[in-house]
Amino acid sequence: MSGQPQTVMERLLTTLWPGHKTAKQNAAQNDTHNPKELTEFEVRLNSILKSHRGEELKDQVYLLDLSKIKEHLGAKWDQACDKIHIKTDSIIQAHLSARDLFIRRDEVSYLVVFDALPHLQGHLKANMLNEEIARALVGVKDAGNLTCVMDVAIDAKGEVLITPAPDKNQLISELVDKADQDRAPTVAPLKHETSLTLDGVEFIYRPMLVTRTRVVSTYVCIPVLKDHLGQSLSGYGVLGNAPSPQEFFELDHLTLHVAAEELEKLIKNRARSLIALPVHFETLANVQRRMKYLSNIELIMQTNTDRIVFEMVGLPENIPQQRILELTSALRRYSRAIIARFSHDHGNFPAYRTAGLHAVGVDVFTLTKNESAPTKNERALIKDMETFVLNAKENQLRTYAHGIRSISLLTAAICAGFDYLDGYALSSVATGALDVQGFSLAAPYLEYQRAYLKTK
Amino acid sequence: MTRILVIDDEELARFTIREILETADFEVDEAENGRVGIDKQKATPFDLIITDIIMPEKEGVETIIDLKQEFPDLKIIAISGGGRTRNLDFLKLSERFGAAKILAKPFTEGQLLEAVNDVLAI
Repeated sequence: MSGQPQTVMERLLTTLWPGHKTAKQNAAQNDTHNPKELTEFEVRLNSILKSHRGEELKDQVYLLDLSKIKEHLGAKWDQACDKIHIKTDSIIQAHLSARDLFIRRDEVSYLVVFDALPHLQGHLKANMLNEEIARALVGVKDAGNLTCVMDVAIDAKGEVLITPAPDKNQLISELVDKADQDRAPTVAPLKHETSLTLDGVEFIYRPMLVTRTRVVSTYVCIPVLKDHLGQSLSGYGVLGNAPSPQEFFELDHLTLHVAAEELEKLIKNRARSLIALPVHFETLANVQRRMKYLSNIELIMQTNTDRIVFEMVGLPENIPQQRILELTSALRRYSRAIIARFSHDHGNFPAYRTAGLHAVGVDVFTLTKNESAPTKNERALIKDMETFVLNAKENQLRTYAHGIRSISLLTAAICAGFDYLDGYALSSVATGALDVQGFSLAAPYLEYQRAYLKTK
Repeated sequence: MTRILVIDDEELARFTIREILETADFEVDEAENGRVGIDKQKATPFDLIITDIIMPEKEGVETIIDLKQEFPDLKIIAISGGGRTRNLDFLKLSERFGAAKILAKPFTEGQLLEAVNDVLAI
């Protein structure tokens, strides 16, 4: 050092990573880093630190320590060292926003810097990152005991403090307490927290039939709204035309809260059914929104996530396989299953299978009632449904038809071989989810017969 | 001459059934779905209706329900291949709602004529 006072970054790196200068000097001969990577890291770290704090640093820098994982893997670590680092890099990269950064400090540790995450959320995210890495490297069973996250801070005296980050459960508990202080226990106050005008949005539950067993085991949580003309809007239609990504996020956020409350009621009533809820691509596409959404799931679902089915909506056509995998991986640990709903002509089935989707769905409701696009006639729709099932089955994917609105489509969908169905031709909606129940194939027809007689 | 209406969304199926029935001296008319079929029945009643199950707009079981409400004595035969899954549950269901006989596709000329004659003899 030259005798000039050290910057926050210099203090940090000198203490935390004494070898970084050597690493930089030796970078050309060393596979671990390249000089450009190290310089870029320093420049960006400096920029982040300067933009957020003065001479103090808190809640931004974390050290992910994989030494316990190395110990657990033993000789396998050395044999697969390169692959382990590639995998770890990709997991961290996938969860960071464009402004966040990370670098491998040495063989068993990584420095991760979050640009802007509130206190606790940064801790939680670092914990979750480390857990996901452990999960990917050693499997689900052992992952919990092998995570080690250090919280890095610089106090007002310029001293670098490295302390173990709190345990994940403790963090969640603190976040829940904080959330409880910030909001009333019901969903209503959340509406006021959002910038969206979600006033008037209500939620209905549509029974989903498992066609093979003729059992309704899942209830799909759907937002609905009556517009100023008295017209009923449902799903993301409640957001109006061309909603922003933030609006999608806020509606998903609200749906999550409502579904969580409904699930609590089910559990309280000892009902065994599942709740399916939509989550839009826009909510998951951006890393910060995704992390916030995932943190919210942790916060409000707690241990009940095995009763949740996520229905991914709005996936762009030709989405790369790696991208779907990234999104499904993020949701998997918080759900029993992930399904995705497409328009009928979506056909990247091999990618959906690789991404581990439980089922792929076709949105029959939109195809039969879409004011902004040509509406398919039922004859064409029946052909398309058959093709959809055929293609999905060839890729060993289960299939789901959403929004079956006529008996003719219901019959066609069952005969086409859809595994799951919902829609008002099948059953009316309810204001809450119910228990698992049997379903008679004759029921829609008897209902139709009753309605027919009523009109006569 | 006995008048028969064939309701099926597949043109080739209608054509084949019509050929068989006309060869056996029945008078035959066609409809491409239940809605059109019901309108035709209301306009000029038939002695027998043969209806497919999987159809757009108004499928077979719905059609049978409507027809039996308006024409309780009407004789109906339901036919279906059950789609890709060969699901014949809807054929059984159509009996519950008033079909006098059911025939699983594919059927032979002899099976069709036997079913038609059986039902007309009731």
